[in-house]
Amino acid sequence: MTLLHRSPGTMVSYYQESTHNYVRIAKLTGLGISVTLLTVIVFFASAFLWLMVSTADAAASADVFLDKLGGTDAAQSYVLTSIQFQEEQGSSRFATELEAIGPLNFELLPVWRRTLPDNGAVGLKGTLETESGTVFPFVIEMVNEDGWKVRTITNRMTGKIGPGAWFTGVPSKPQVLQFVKDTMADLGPAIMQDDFVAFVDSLPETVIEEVVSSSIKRTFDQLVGQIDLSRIADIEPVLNPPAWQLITSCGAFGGRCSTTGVGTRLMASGYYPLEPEPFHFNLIYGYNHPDWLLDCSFQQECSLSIGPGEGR
Amino acid sequence: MGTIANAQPTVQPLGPTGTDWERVRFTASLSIFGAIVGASTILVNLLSRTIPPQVPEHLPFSQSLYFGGLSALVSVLIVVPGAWFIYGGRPTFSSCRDCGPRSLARWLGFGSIYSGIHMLLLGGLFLPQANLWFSFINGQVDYLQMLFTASDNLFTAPYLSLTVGLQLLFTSMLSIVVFGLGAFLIDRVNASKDPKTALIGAWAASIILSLALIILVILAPEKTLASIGSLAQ
Repeated sequence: MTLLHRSPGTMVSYYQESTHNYVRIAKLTGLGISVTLLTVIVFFASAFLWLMVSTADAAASADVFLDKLGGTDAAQSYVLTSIQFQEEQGSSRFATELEAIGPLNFELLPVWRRTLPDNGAVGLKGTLETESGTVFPFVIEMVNEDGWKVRTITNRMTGKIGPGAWFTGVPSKPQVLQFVKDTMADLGPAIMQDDFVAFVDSLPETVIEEVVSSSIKRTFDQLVGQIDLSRIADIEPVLNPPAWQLITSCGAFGGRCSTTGVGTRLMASGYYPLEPEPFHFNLIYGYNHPDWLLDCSFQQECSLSIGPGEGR
Repeated sequence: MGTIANAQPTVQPLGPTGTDWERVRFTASLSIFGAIVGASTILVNLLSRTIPPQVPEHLPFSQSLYFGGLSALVSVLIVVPGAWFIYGGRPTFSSCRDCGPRSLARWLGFGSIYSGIHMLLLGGLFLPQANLWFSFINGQVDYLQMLFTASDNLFTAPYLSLTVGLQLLFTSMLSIVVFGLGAFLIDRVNASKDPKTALIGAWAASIILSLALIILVILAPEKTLASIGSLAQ
């Protein structure tokens, strides 16, 4: 608001209604919005740059490791793993894990799917394609130990997985054969002595409760006094191809169905060629990181029987 | 030499021109206090969320600074334009500006507006985004997830302001009183007839009140703060 003086003779004074304030408000609002937008863009761009720079070396080292892992001599990649990795998983177990899942093709996800380093470790996500064409997501965790080394690589997305390479591949036949032999080395004498407790005591504490209340107790009782298992440790069992024990459950009132068991429940079935009749077994092993443990419980019926036929 | 008749029209300002330092002083001193009230609000609120048998504990210093700073920022965004508007421009035909400090009741009213906006803005927009950023810098979400969730948070801000904002309700009610009383005191000192008191007093009142609040939040027992923050619920 200003008072204007035009001439000394005729003084006209009046209020000038200024519109400048509105223009100023509009300008300030526009400026505010522009600055806010610019700040947001700069903020996200900076975060992206930060992410890219802080994970670049780890991603490059992971790529080298994955190239070797997908190559012809995957076991060579063991040297690129961290101290913790090697403490938790020996080279032979590493080779077994790789063998279980078969030839693989690894690919890391693009940079915008990365996370920032946390406590000196970078978790990178990717996809792995098996020889059969199945694609799984996987995670590779890198740690800085005189250069970025692999601490964990796994496609097991549930549960706590420690350092090492852990895959959900079906364990190889010799491995499963060893599981069965270990179980029977305890179960055979227990049946002979009618001492289920002795068998249960040989199991890890985590599975005792489930096995005690499982179907295996019933079949155990039926076998006592019916079979001579004194030399079972010396006999080689005949194993059906190991497979996952899948359980499908559906939600109530037409709810979605889901199948569980891949990578977590293993079915080992087969028989011991005993005379006069073969001794059949149907055992289920659950993955209890990093081991496979006998896991007979509700819905996971383990059974032992004597009878004719080889591949029942 | 020109004649008077030929003289160019001149524009005479009706009052003092230039920066309105009185207004700046009032706004700045109130904003400092408002920021500390905002920071205290969220820190006390986080303590009051503890459910027994858990014992309320202060967050680590870095997290306290992060969430306190965020809440202080929201307060500043509210208080700066608010205080600037409340103080008003220079009067044209009067020698006094609003003729004295505003009443306590008016400040409690302003406190309610401040607290309400703070609660909705902090809960609806800033807190969800800050939590997301916190997860990102701690390597819990990837960049793409952060972008998607940030835009999702932005669009659901009205809903979040009710759901998340209401979690701040009791502490916000408490901040009405704290802010109202503090702002009333700052305003009184700022409106002093003695220019020196007005000049230094507003800053001093703001800083002393802010420090007192900071010390209270740091030193008072966590259980007491949690109890105050939930209005002894």
